Amino acid sequence: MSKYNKILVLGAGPIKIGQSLEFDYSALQVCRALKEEGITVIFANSTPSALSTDKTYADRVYIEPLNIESVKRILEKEKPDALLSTAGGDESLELSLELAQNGYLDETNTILIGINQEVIRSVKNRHSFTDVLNEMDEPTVPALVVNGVEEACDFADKVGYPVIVRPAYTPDRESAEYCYDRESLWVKAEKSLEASIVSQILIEKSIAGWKEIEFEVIRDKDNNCLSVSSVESIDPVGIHTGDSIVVIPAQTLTDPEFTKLRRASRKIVSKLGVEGSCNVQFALSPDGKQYFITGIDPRVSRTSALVSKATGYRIAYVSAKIALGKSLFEIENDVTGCTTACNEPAMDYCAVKFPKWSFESFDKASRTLGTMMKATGESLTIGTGFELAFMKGVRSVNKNHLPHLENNESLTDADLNEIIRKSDDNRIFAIYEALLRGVSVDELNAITNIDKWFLNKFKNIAETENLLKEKFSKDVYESAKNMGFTDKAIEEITGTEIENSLSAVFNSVDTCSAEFDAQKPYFYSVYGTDNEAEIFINANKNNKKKVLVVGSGPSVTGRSGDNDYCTVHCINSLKAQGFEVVVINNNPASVTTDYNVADRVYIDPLSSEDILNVVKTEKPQYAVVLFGGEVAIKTSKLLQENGVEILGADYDFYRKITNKIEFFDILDYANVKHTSSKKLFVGTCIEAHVISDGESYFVPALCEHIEKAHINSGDSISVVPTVSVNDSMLETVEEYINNIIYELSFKGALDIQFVVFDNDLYVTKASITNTALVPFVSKASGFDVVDMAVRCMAGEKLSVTGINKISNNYYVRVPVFSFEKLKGDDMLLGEKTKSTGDVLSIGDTFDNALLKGMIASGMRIKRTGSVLVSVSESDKADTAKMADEFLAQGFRIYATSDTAKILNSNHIATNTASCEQAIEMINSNKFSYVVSTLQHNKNTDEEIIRRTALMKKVPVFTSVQSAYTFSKSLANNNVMEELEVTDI
Amino acid sequence: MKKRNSAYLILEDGTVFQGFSMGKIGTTIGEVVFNTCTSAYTDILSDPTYYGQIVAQTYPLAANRGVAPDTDGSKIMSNGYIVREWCDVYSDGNEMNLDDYLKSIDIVGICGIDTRRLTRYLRDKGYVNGAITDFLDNKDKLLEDIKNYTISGAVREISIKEPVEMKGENAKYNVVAIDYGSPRKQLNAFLLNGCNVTFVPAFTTPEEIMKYSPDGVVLCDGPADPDDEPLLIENIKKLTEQGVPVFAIGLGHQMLALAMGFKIVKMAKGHRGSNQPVIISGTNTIMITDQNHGYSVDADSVDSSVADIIMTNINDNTVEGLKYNKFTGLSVQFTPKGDEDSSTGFIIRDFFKMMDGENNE
Repeated sequence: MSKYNKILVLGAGPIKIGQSLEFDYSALQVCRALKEEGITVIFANSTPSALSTDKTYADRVYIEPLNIESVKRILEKEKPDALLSTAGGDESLELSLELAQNGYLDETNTILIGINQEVIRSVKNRHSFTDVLNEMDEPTVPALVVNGVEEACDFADKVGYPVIVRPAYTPDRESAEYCYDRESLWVKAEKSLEASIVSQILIEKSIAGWKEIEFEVIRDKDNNCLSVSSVESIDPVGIHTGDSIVVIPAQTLTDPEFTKLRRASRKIVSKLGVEGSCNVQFALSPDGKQYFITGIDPRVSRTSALVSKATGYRIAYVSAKIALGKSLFEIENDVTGCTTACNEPAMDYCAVKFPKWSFESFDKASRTLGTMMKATGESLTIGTGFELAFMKGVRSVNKNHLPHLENNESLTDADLNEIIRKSDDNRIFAIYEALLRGVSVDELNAITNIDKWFLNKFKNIAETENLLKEKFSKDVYESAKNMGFTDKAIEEITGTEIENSLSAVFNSVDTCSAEFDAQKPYFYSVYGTDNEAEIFINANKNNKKKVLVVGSGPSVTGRSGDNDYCTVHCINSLKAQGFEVVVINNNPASVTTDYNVADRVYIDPLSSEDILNVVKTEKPQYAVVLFGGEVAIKTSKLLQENGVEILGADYDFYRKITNKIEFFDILDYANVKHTSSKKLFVGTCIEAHVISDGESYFVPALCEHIEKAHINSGDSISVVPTVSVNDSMLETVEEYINNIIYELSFKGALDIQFVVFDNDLYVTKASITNTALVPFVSKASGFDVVDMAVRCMAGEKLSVTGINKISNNYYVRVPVFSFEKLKGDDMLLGEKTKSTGDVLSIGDTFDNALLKGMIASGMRIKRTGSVLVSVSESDKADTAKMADEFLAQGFRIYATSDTAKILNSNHIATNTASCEQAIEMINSNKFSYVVSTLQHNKNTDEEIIRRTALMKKVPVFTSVQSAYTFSKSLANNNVMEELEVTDI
Repeated sequence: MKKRNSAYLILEDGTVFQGFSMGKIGTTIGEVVFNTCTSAYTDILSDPTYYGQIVAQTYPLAANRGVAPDTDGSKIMSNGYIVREWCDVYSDGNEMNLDDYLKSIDIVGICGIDTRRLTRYLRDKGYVNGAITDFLDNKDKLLEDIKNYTISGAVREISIKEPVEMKGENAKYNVVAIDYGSPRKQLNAFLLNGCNVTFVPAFTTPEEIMKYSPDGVVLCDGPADPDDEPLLIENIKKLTEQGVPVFAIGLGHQMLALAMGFKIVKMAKGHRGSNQPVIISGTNTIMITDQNHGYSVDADSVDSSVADIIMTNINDNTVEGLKYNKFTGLSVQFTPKGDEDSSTGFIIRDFFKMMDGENNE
C-alpha cells in the first residue's frame, strides 16, 4: 500500500501546437499506475477532448481552468495527500510551483511529488539553468547580455564565431541575426543595441548545424538511473526537434560520443535529483568533440511518449510509480511479463518519427521551419532498416507514397537548391529529388549539415527508385519492398502492374530484442519469413468475433483529440461487447497505440496495402474505418472485397453524405429545408449528434453555437443546452431529424448542423467524420455518444429515443487556437477548421459557464479599460449592441474610421483611431479587448491589428456575436473568483 | 547495388540461414550466441567470454560510424560475427568499415540474415553450435563437425605466457592479476585508480604470486566452463589461504566459488547483453551491467559460513556477487567499472578498502 491515499493529478490543458495527445496518453498511464496502488485519484484538466477527463480513469474529475484560483479550490475541497504535476506540460509544472510557493499546498497538507520545487526553478529559468549545469561541470551554450559593442565582440572572439545577436529581453526570435566575423558583429550589434528598449543585447554562440541528440532518462529515489533510449534529430540544431524527422535510437554517434552523452545525461538527472523521467537535450558539434546541454524536461513530454511507443517502455507509468516511492525493480515490465522497469529496453529495429504539419488549414502561415515548432502531429513508423521505417513515415504523413515534391518535374536544379537552403516543410523531399538527379551526398551535407549517414540512406532509396525505372526484375522488386516501397509506388514508377505481390509479415516490439518470449508485444510490418503476429495469434486463440479498428494517423487540425477520444471509446465499446479488437495506427502520442487499450496493436501506416497486410494476418470478420479519416474510409471497398464486413459507415455512405448535391437531393426527398441556394444564411446555429440504430434515433444533447454561421463548428463557441432556440424551432429540429433518419436508414452516428434564419430552420450540412464536439456532447449530456453509436453499428437497438433536453448545468465549449506559433496566418475563422484544441466549462448559468470557459481557454479577463472595435460591413448591425454593452460596463470604445462612423451614428461614444494608431495603442497595452472581423483582402492592416494583439496577449474576438455574449457574461458575473469547481 | 558473395549460417539441427559473406571468406565453427548491445564491436570481439563463440548482434544496423580498430593489443576471441546490415559509408573519421575490419582480424562473418529470427531460435533452444561458411557442398561433414564442436582448453590457449608489469597512475597498491584470457581493458579500472598491476599467466602458482608481495590478487574474467581446469581451482583455493585480499570477476568468480566448494550450474538462458540488472542484497540499489555467460554459481550451494550472496540478478535471481567470510575477498559475475560515477564503481573501491585492511561492513 502506498503512503498516500489521495492524489491530485494535473493535466496539460487543451491541445496546442507543441502539446498534443501525448499528455492524455501519459495521464491515463499515471491514473492506471496510481489506481493499482489503491489510491483515490483526483484529476484536473480543462479540456473535454481527453480520455483522462472521462470518469472512467480517475475517481473524480474536475474540468476546470488550470489556474491558481481553481486548483486552489480543488485542493481545499478535496484535501489530497499529494499533488502530481509531471504528467502535464510546463504550465502544470509552473502552476504547481506557484501553488507551493504561495503556501497553498502547505495549507491543505499536500505534498508535491514526482519533482521538487528546486528542480522546476533550476530548469525553467535560463539563468539558473546555466548556473546549475555549470556547477555540475556540464556546458551550456555560451551567452551573455552586454551593454556595448566592444564587449559583444570580445565575448564572440572568446567563444568563437558564428554568434547570434538580438536585442535583450525580447521574445521575438525572428530579430536574431547571425554574425560570422567581428566586422559583421560590430554592425549588427550596434543595430540591435538601438532596437533594444533597455539598450542591452544578448549575444550567444551559434550552434546551428550541430547534431541534436536527446536522452530519455529515468531515475528512482535510490538513485538507480537508466537511459530508456537515445533520440536523434535528422535536421541539425536550428530546426525545432518537433519539426524534424527523428530516429530512435541515435544512429550517427561513435561509441565514445554515445558514451559521453549518455553519462552526462545520467549525471545531470542524478545531480538534479529527479525522481521519474527526464529528457536531456544535447547539441553535439559535427566533429563530435564538443557538446552543450540545450534543454532539460523533468517530466513526461512529447519525446517521452514517442520513446515509450518506440521501445515498449511505459515511461509515464513508471514515473508515476517512482513518484509513489517505488524502486525501478519493483515495477513490472508487462510487455515481457518476466522483467522489470530496470531492464533498459533493447531495440532490434529502427523507429522513425515524421512531423505532420497542418499548413492546409493555416494556408497563410509561413512554412519556413525554425526554432518555433509548427507541426501539429507526428507519425511513428518502425522497420528493421532505416529505409523501411522512413518510407513508411513518408506515406503516414502524405497521400503520396513516395518522398516526392508535388511539382517535381517542373523544378529546375536551382529551384531545388533554393528549397533545400530555405528549410521549409518540403526540404526533405527536395533533398530526395536532388539525390534522384544525382547530386552528391557531400554537396547536400555541405548545405544542410544533415549527417551523411542519413543522406546515404536517402540515396539508397533514390537509387532503388532509379533502378526500378531502369529495369524491373524480381530482385529489384524485392529489394524495393524491403526499402519500404509499396506496390502502388512501384507501379507508379515502373508503369507495370504488380502481379505477384509480396505480403509483409510482422515483427514485435518487445523491449528485449527477442531475448524473452513477450506476453504483450505489439507489431510492425517487415518483409521476411517469420510472422510473429501470426504465431502470437495462434498461441492465444479464442472464440471471440474479431474487429479491426483503423486509427486516424498523425494529428492535424480538425482531426486530433476528438478523433482519438472517439477511437478509444469505440475500442472499449467493442471490447465490452465481447469483440477481440485489433488496432492499426501510427500516431505515437495517441492512446490507441497504447498496447493496454486494444487486444493487439499494429504500428504502421494507414495505406490500403498496410491495412491489407494486417487483414491477411489477423483475418478479422469486421472493421471500423469511420474514425480513420477519409483515407481509411476509402479502404472500405478493399476490405469488403477481402471478406471484411464494415461496421458503421462505409465509403458509399460517406460519399452520399459528403457530396453536397447528392445529400441535398436526399434532403429534398425527405422534405427538409436546406441551405443550397446562394443566399447568405446568418443566424443561430444548432448542431445535433444523431445516433441511430437504423429505425429510431437518439440525440444526447443539442448544441448551440454562439457565432452566427459561416465558421467551422469546431471553431465556434458552443453551449448545451441551447439558449436562444424556441420550442417550435425545437419541434422542427425533431421533425427534420426524423425525416432524415427515415430516408438514410443508417446505424451509427451522424452530425447534423442547422441554422435558424428568418424564423425558419435549414440544414446546412451533415457529416459522419466531424467529431469535434463529440467529447463535449458526451460530457455535457452524460451519455457515451460513441459507445451508443458503436453498439448500434454492431446491431444493438437503442433503449432511449428522441432528443434529450435535460441538463442540470450549462456546459460551454471554447475552442483554443495556436496562432502565436504560426507567423503569417490570419486569425479570422471560416469553413476550414483552425482550432487545435478545446476547453469545457460548467456553470449554473450560461454567463458563468461562458466566462469560466474564456478563462480556461487562456484569456486574460479585464473589467476596465478600452475596447478596440473594427468590423466588417455585414457585422455592423450587431456592433452597436455589442459596443453599447461594453460601454455600459465602463469600458471606453475605440474604433477604426468606418466602424466609428456607424457607432457614433448610433449614439455610442466612440474614439476614432487610424489603423496605425490602433496598432501603436495595442503595443503600449492600451486595450483590454480587440474586436476585429474585417477580411484581409479589403484591408490588410486588419491582420496586423489581430496579430499584434495576439503577440501582446490581448484577447481578440473575430466574431461580433461572441464579443457581445462575452460582454454580457462579464456584466452578469462580477465575482468570478467565487465560481464553483464541480466534480463531473 | 554491389555484387556480394553468398554465405550461410548452419545450425546443428541443420537449419540454414542464407546471407552474404562479411569479413574473411571461409568456414568457421562455434557456439552461436546473441548480444543485445548496440555498439562496442571491438570490445565484444576481443571479450574472452566470447572465446570460441559466433556472436550475433540483435541490433540490425552495425558500425554506422565504422569501427575504430583497437590499438591496445587485445586479442580477438570470438570465432565469427553475425549482423543484419553493416554500413559501408560512414560520416567521417579514420574508422574502417566492418567488412574491412573483420578481414583485417581474420574473422569470418555473415550479414543479411534475419537476426531476430536467429535470436528467437537461440532463445528457445538454449545452447546451439553452428558454422558460417561460403560453401555448402559438404553439409553433412560440416554438420558432424558442428555437433562435435566443444570449447575446451580455452584458458590455457589464450592466457598470456609471461608476466607483464604495468604501472598505474599515482600507484598506492601493488596488485597481481591472473589472466584467464581477459582483455587488457579490464585492468584499466585498477591502473587508473592507483594500482600497479602485475599481470601473470593463468597457471602461475600461488607461491610465485606471493613472491610479488601483492596487496591484493585479482582473478580475471575468461571464457568457457569453470570446471575445465581443476588445477586452477586448486591454486585459487591455496591463494585464499595466504591472507591476501582476493577479488574475482566473471570466470574468476566462478572458479573461486568452486574453490570454496560451491556448485556451478549451466543456466537455462545465459545472460547476454548490456542491460542485465543486478541488485545489491538488502538495498534498493541496482546496477545495469554488461554480461555474457552461460554458467552461474548455484545459490543453494553457497554456505553462508563461507560466503554471503551480496548481489543477485533481478530477472532470474541468479548469484551475481559474493563476499567471503573465510578470507578477505569479494567476487562478482560481471565486469565492474572503475569510474567514479559508474554504478558499479564502488565494488573496486570496496576491494581497495580490503587492501587497506579496513573491514568493509
